Amino acid sequence: MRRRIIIIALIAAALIGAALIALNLHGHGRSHGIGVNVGDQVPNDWFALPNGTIVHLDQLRGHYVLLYLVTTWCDACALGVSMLGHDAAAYAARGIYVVILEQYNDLGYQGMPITSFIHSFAGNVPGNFIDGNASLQLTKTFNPTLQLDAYYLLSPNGTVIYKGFNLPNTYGELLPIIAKLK
Amino acid sequence: MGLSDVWNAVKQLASRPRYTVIFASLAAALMAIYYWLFISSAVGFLLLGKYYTAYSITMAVALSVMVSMAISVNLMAYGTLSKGKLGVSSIVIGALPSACCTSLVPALLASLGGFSFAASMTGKIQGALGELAPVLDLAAVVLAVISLHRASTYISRGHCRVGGR
Repeated sequence: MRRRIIIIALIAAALIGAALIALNLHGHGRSHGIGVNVGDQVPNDWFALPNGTIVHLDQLRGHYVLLYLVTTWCDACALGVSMLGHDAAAYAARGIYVVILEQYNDLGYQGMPITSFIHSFAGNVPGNFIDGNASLQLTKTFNPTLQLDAYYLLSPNGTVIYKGFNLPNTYGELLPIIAKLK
Repeated sequence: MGLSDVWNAVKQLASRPRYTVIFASLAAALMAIYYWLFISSAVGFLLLGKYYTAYSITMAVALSVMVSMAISVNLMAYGTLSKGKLGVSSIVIGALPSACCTSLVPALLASLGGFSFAASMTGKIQGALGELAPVLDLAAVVLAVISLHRASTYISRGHCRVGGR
C-alpha cells in the first residue's frame, strides 16, 4: 500500500514537473522581468555583421527596429525566423529594420552560421533584414536570463516599445502593435 | 511469447475497469502535456520544417499511449511499479527535448558561475538536448515497449496480481 502511494506520488510529481516546465517555458511570453523594459532607452551595445563590421545600436536610430536574438540550434528560433521571413515584405513596406542576431557564441553550442540560418528558414529576405552576431554585453543587456530567443521592438529614438520571448508563441501579440506604427 | 504476450496483456487490461481507467487517465494527461510541450517549443522544426506539427502529434500520441500502457500493465502484473521503472523513466526522457527550451538550465548555470559562464555553457546542455530530440523521443518509446513486454511476459507465465478488478 505504502509503495503504491509512493508510486502514485512519483507519477503525479512527474506530471506536475512536466506542466511546470511547460509553464516556465511559455508563460505569457511577455517576460516582464527580463532585459531592458518597455519605455527604457536601449544602451548603445554592439553586434558584428558577418563580414566583421561592428554596428552600434545607435547607428540604427531613425528607424523602427525589430531586434530578434536567437540561437541557431533552437527549433522555436527557426520557426520565429520563418515567420519573420513570411512577413518580410510587410516589414520592408513599413521601413522597419529586422535585426536578427545570433546570441553571444550561440550560447556555447554552435549551430549553423546566422546568415545560413536566416537563408534556410526565411528564404531570400529584403535589405531591411540585417543579420549578425551579438556581443556578450548586448546578449546580457537584452537577454539576461538567457532565453533561447528574445525580441524587442524599438522606436526610431531608441526606446523599447514592446518586448517578449518565444516569438512563435507571441507573434500574435506583436503584430497588432506593429500594425499601429506610423 | 513476444507480441502475443503483449496482446494478451492488453486484452486483460481492457477487461479490468480499474486498470483501464488508470491507462485512459494517464494517456489523456500525458498526451495533453506532451502535445503542449512539443508544439509550443516547435520540437522538430529544424529537422522537419513545416512537418514538425505532424511529428509533434505523432510523438505525443505514441509516447503517451506506450508509456501509459507500460505503466498500467506493470501495475496489473506486479501491483507496483518498482519493477517497471523503465516505464516511469520514459515519461521523463520523453519530456527532455522540450526541457531544452526552458530557462531552468541557464538559471541554474548562472547561479553557479555567473552570466558569462551560463552564456558559454547553457547551449552545451540545451543544444545537445534539442539536437537529440528525435532520438530521445524514440528512446522513451523503446523503453516503454521493453517495460510493457517484460510485464506482459510476467503475466503470461501465470504470475499476475490477484485482485484489482
